[in-house]
Amino acid sequence: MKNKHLPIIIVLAALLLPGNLLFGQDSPPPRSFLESGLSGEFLAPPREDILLPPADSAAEAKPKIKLLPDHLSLMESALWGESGLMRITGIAPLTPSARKSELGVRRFMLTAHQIGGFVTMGLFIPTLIYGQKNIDQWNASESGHPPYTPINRSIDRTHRNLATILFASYMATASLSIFSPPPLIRRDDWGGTTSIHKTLAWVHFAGMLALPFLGSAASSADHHGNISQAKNLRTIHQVVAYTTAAAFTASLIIMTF
Amino acid sequence: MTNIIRSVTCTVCVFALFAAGTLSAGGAAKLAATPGVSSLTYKIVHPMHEFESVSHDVTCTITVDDSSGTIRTAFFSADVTSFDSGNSNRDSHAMEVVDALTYPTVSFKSTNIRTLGTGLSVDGDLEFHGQTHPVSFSAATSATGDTLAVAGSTSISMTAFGIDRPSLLLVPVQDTIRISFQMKFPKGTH
Repeated sequence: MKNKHLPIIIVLAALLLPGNLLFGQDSPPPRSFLESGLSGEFLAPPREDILLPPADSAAEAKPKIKLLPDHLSLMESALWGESGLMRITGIAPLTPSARKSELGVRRFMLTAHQIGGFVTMGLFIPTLIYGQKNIDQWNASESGHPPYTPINRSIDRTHRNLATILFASYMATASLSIFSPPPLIRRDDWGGTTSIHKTLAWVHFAGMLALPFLGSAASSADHHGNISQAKNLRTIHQVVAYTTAAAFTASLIIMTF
Repeated sequence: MTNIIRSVTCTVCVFALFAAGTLSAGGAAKLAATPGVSSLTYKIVHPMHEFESVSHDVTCTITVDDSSGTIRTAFFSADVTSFDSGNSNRDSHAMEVVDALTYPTVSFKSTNIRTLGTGLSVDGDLEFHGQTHPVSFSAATSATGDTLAVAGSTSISMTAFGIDRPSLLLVPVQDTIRISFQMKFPKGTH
């Protein structure tokens, strides 16, 4: 007899046991509740809701965080990707503790990037002032017929020196961002301040690469007596310089919003 | 016939055992907030601007007393990487300062809940950045349509939880974080 009815009891128990375990001691099977204090009567949620993670402690709900974001830039992949240079050389292994230190490095580099941005912004001002003075004196000198008005070489030299310092400061500042370790997450939030900052960076980066060549080409044209070409190149250099400065200023200001 | 009677008796006994277990629970039901529509938000203020970061991926459970309809306990937990301020660079910075790799969750467990009309006065422990501190806040409950909503807010100090305040353009944000929540629980059917 025992053998006959034992399976029935086991089946019934098996059907009931999971539910009882899931509901736990504080949770009876669905019953009506919330009869006072609230308009409308609420019942216990459907079983699917109760089957959600119990989450009775932080430990149970503790997720695993991915060490790298889903999307990496080319430079980030080359340096900090799973098979990047820093990983294969063993300089920065891809482990949680190493990644934590890496994020500290990233923060240091980005803070220095911000300081570098202000310094570079400060250097733009005298470079533009002396650049404008220089272009004015060259245009004035070459507007008439020979012999031309003598050029104040001191203004020309000062502009060149300032431009060299500005270029070095700019590239150092850019490097701090370009070579920094990747963040923990990266979402597609196009239109945000950071994406505008990065879009403007393409503009001023291209401008900063072009400016030394344009200045040098204008100087070379002058040296060879090609006055018309020199004047055109100076104008292009001037427009690119102001555009670069404007894009740089905008990319700095946008980060404050 | 005797066998059938014995089978039924055994079945009834099994039911009785589980019913006894259920009744001993004190007549409280556990409700889980609906993910996606429930939210946990923090607001940070910087001298230049302020922003909010929202997580819709919150695990929240409450136990509700069947007879009185009052909320007895509340618990929530959220993955710190699930907060979105609309600027992932900023969110990543936030994860750095809260050391998300070591402490990936923020959680709250109530220790005492008092019902004040349609509102609640909640005391509990907030675990954040590996530290647990008591917090108290008021919450409002409302029932609309098929949903029970519980909303509230409180403020915490970052330094109290051992967090170094993040900076923008070398200027640190305010120490106080405003935390607000809107939890929605599904209404069941008869």
